[in-house]
Amino acid sequence: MKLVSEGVDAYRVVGKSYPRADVRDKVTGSALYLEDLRLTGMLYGKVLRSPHSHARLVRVDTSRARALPGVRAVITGADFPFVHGESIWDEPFLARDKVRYKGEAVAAVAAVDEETAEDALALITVDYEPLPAVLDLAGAVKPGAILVHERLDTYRCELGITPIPGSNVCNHFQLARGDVAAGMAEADYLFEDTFTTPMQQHCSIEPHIAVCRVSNDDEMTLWLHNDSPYRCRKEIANALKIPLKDVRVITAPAIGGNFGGKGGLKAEAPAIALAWTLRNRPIRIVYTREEEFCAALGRHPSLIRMKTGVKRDGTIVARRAEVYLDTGAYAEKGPTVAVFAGVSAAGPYKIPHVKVDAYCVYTNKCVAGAMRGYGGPQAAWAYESQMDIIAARLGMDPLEIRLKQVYEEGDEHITGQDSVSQNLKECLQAVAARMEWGKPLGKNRGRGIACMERAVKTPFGSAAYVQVNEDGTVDVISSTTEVGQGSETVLRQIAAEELGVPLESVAKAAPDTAFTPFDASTTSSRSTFHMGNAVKTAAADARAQLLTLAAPLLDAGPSDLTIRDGHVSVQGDASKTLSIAQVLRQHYGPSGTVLGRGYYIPTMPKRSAEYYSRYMVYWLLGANGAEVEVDTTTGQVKVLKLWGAYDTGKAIHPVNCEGQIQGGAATGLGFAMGEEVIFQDGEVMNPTFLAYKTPVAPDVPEIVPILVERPHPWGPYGAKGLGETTNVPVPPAIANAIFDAVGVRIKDLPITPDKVLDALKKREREVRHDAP
Amino acid sequence: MTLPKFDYVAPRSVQEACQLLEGGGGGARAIAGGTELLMALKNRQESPGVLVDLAALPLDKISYSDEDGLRIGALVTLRHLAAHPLVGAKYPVLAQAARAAGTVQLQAMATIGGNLCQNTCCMYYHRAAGARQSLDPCLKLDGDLCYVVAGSAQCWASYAGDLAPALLVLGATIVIADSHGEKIMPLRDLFSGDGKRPHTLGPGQLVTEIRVPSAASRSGGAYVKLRQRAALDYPLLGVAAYVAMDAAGTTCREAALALTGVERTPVIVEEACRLQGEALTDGAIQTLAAAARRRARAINNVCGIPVRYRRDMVAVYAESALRRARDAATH
Repeated sequence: MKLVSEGVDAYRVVGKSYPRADVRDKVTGSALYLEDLRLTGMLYGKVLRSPHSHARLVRVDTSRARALPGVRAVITGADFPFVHGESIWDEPFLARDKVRYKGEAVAAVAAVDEETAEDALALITVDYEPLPAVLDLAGAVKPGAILVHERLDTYRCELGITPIPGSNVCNHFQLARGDVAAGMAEADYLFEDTFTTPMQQHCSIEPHIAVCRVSNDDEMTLWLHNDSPYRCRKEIANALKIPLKDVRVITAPAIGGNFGGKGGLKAEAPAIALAWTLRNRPIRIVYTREEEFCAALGRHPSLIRMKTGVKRDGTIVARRAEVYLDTGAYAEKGPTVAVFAGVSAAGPYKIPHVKVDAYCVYTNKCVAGAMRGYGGPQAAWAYESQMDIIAARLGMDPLEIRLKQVYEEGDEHITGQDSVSQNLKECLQAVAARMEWGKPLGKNRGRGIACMERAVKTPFGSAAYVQVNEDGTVDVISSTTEVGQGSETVLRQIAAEELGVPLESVAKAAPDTAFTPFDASTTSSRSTFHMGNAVKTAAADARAQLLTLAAPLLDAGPSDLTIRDGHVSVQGDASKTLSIAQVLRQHYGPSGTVLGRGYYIPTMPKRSAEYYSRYMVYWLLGANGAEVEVDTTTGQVKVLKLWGAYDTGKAIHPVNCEGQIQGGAATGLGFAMGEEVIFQDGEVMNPTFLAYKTPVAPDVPEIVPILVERPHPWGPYGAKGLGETTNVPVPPAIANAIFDAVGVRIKDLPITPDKVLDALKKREREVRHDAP
Repeated sequence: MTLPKFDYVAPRSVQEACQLLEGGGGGARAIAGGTELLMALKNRQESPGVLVDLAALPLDKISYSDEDGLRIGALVTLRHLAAHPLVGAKYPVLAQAARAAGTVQLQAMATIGGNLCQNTCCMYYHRAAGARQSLDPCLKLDGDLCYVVAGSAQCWASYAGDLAPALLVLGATIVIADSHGEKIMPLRDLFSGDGKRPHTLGPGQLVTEIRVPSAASRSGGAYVKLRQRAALDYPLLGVAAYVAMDAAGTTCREAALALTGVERTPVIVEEACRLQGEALTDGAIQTLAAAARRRARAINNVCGIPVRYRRDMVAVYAESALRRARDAATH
């Protein structure tokens, strides 16, 4: 539903919800996934994993496994002594010297089939010397805690990452503005709350898969579904100290879900190690569902302490946030997750005095990394839950207290940057209007609202080519990966609009680093904006070249020409027209094409004196509403309906945007109501779709998507990103609705019925106790 | 995940199936819908040498007569059962239980016989099977420890089939076939009470039919299920209730209550018979619900939901099931 619009626009392709390019193949089952790839001579890899949370590797004996017929290679960390990491180089391809979590790769086998590889694993004997392990956040940050990485001080780190040597903190992010102590002193009320969230899992239907082949000349080819081929290539080349040109990443035509989970080196790592050892043989590794849960990655478990000083009228004057994120045994993307969580930990509110400390903490558990929202869900769970705690205490309306102080256009963000395209207030108002905020509800029913901001990853570049073929059709050549989010269709729409050709004559293939140009990543809801701009520039370049070619053929100047529906015409003289194919044929003869080039890296908002972190070219902004019914006998919560209003800028494909809001709401619903990777002594106890409670179809209520369309000044046709954070405010919106319904506050996710029932009983006791 | 190697046979008669199962000794397993067994095979919780596929056996019919009551072939799928108009009309508790099991997709494959023969569940059993290296095998995996009740020599896995409590309150009997012929026994005798081997079937024995007495007039039943999600999950607790009222609709002629998910076997709440000849007041229902709570022995073998919550919910769910059954019987 389109709530705010700039009015009728003149676009022909942009803003229309065409059938997505990938949908028919996915629905009919004909889409090709990485699992479908079979290469001549391909071998099947399997990984032996650590049964200990923390142990010294005393001896690994692979001799019996090697002797098994059909086995081609068995390797350990000693055979492949490299480490990798996106921001901290801390992770071996296969464990060396010690293991740091249950599930860490200790050895890898390549064999003629999967069964043989599995059988070989059972023949490997490993002698471990178990070490005491640190399994929770509180223990990991205690002085004198067992160290997961004793030599953290020697690790290579990317710029801007600040580990605390001699501790388990692999990044300490700080943000301060004003004088928090003075702000707290000014306040009429102080609020102190602690909020926690568990590990969530991406639950992509397609597990991690990698196929790798290395030639005798160290040239590596990888067939992957990594969300970011160029970032992946760099991480591999850096780790192995080989030139980028020797690593070629070919992306699968279709990818079965990502949500941030397919970014680092997962199945890639053992596949590379095996292929490096066993030259000229492609090695394929497919994770099992159990490996997805125990040995891939999840969302960081968190603990957030939030202290807030508030004036009697609800104005927040000071906020102190301490954010602890449990990143598991290796940093992965944890250090930057902590940055993004920290940047937004105070919430999207104008607060004069803020101090944030965000700590990314090692523990001996499986690794946490990027997942939809990237620190946003943990932060919003704290700041949006506390917002309603404050409103309740002051007797204020939860909507009003937010509208009173959310950032607006031009406001200075706590990072010191000016807010550009800041439409959060409209998102809140849109949700409130649609959910009939304020209208009385029946007994035990309640409404909640919550909002969020999250920075986009920026400034990072994207490049694209737009090739106009001999027959007038067009190829968009770009390294954005279609992970299900709809980028393929959106980028085709942008190229078609800019060039003046019908959408169906534009194709976009999956990336291949040998041919498709650089792109930083398909993450952070950056593709529509960044790659969209690159594609738009490339298409404009191709258009200009076409017009130059057509001008002499049509006896006109290039500026007198226009392209529409694949035909170049003289403006004002419809009789003088040539199809693009005719232009190319008449100019080049038998064959010839036009290649447009585009590169985009953002022009940044005004840099203020107090500029703190990296610039954010735009903020992801949105609000969710929830209506619930609570059964006070059982503590069970029924989420009756969800609303989501998100700032899309100009929506290139409105139905796809709506789908993102609905899908994100389902992810948020799961995080709110049941999803939790459960650990016992570092062991994941529920690594199956039966035991891990991701919502199933009948759990998901009606979700009303609302697009707040305010064109961004620098977005392609005014578009900005959307998909990454549409889950973020859902858990606090539901918790706030539960409070509205029955007056109990849950601060620890997930909101299981036992917690609600316990809170109801506790409140009943307190009420009785307080009664005169 | 790949299946282990096994031989496969598809007998054409019950007799042949029983002989094959008997001949295979402990190494033969019957497969019907396969919704549970295939998972267990992939996880190497079971590794039979031979699978005896029952698909071709003529056990997929539902019939009803006032004299014989309801007869359900063991291979009738849960979807077929739930969608059968006569089952829905005369035995709503049974239709409700079938609809509560698994998901619609699983219901389309899963059979009633297979559901009754469902294995017991325990998070440690499932986890220890997956993480063979890091967790020592528990009793149910032929190991020698129980993670749920430390030091116990018994396996405490819970029986969590949805259909059993519904059939128990209806007074169902089952037909057991083996190579010597058939016998009829009460359904309750199918369950051993042992978490490790929850059924009493011997090698070569098959459940071939489920029989339910003809439906009484002025009767009503209900199945309510506690689970975390609206589909897929096994019951953390399931309660089936059945009541039949006298002609006036005021006095209880018959009452039955059974639980699942809270013991190593389905639990029949015997105290229900005390309602016979009584008025079904709210107080009487609450007394029976309290008895159900005492009978249930939910233990800490499920992920995510504390056992005390499951225990607390027994009385709440029993009361709800009984009220629904009473309302259905009196309206």
